[in-house]
Amino acid sequence: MILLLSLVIVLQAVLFRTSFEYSNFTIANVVFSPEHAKTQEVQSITSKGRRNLLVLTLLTLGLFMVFQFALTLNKAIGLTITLLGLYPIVAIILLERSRGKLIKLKEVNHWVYDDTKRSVSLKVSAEKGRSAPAILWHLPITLLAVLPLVYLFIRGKFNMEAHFSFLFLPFISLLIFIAYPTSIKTKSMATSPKEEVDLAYHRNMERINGWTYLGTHFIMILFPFLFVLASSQYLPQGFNYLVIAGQLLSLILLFLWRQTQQRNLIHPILEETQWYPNESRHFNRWGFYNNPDDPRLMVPKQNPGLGTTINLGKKAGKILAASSLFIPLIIIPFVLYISMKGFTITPGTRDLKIDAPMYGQTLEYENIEAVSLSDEDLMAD
Amino acid sequence: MRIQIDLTSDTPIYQQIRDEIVLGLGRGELSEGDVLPSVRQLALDLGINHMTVNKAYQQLKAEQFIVIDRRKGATIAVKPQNSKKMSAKHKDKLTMVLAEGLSQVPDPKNYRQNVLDLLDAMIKERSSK
Repeated sequence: MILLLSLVIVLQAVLFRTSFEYSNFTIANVVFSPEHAKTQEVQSITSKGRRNLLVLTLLTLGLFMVFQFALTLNKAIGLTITLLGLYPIVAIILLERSRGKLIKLKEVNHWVYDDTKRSVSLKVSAEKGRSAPAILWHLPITLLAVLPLVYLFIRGKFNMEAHFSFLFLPFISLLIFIAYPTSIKTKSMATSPKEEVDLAYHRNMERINGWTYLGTHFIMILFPFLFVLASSQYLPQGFNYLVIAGQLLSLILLFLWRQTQQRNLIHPILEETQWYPNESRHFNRWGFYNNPDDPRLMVPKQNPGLGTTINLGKKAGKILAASSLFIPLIIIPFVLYISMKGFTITPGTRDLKIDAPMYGQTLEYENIEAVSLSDEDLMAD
Repeated sequence: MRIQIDLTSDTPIYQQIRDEIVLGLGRGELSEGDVLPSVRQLALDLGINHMTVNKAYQQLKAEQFIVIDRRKGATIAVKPQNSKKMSAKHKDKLTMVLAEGLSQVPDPKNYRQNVLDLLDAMIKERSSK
């Protein structure tokens, strides 16, 4: 009971708190322009209001607990219900106090808005109205993730050791499904002083993120599914290599698509704002920045909300870029070469010498209790 | 392109939205294939009823300035005139506007020059886009 009542209070607190947020050009039903809403005075009033609301909520919840443990049942219920009724009244008084301060602030600063003339950018409005793919689009993919397991169970071929990784597929898919709404929210910085342009930018980013997540989800589930089929007799042997190659290629293509979309995103924003200097001519079509006259080593990307990039026009920039290629060009081929090497086991008179890629050990016979092979192919041989 | 509406104007709001979009087309700020905001989003941004925006869009659709698709929304799709001659409907409208103007000025020649200047400025602005 006490938990249920606490939940009611918390829900009310969340609702009251949203009144202090800047939404649809209003704070606590007082109209503010985006520029004025960001001022220190307004922020100070709203943060004080939020703090007072938090104190009230904590106090109410604390008193609930005290009543529950320190009073008789009848008294506790009576006082709890009284508090429950008092909470919204006090919260409204707090909200009204903040509202009064905000109205006074507007009067003092002569922040008067002409509400009879309204103007909107068609492009920005169109962007704001377009949404990311709905979460339900992930549902068929999540169902597809379960299919390999269902198939293996039905055919009676499920082997815990061999197919353990397929247990993760539905789990990962479900995680992506749950995390989707929060994951697609962009964390990139605002690019414009205009609130509406930022909104359009973020909606656009959300849409690109949404499609990328959906694509990644699909690739991460479809290819393991194909892998199961390739491991069975339904598809020719060697098909699993094609599956792995296909998965990598799809991910690369998806990544390139995302890059292109993000790069294209700057154009509608450039039209609406003169926020950052026009450095576009120094960016080539691959998004690399090359400007020897720019003293900076790291410069904002062409789409400035997406972080920084290296200036290849500087010597240090070239070295930095070359060193970042070290991992894909040197380490990965090296690891592949090592992993392709076979292993040797040399039985000695007193010990067993194992020489495998990136692994070497000498074991004395008296320390070996049992030897078994886990690979099915080796066991068959 | 920005559109502006005046809530105190005698012209109905849906007509203002329609006129602003047609003006944008005339100036070359809007072109074939441009996507217009959804009815709800534009209504929300302008702080007006969505039925008003819907009415403006329906009028633009009837006048063949836009097409409305259930999935894509409203898109600019001006139906080109086949003939080099002005359509009779458009001619009637223009005649009415010019007649209104002419009736209010003492010097018709000066008015002619003003109309031509305005037309030239619009064509110049359009070709610069």
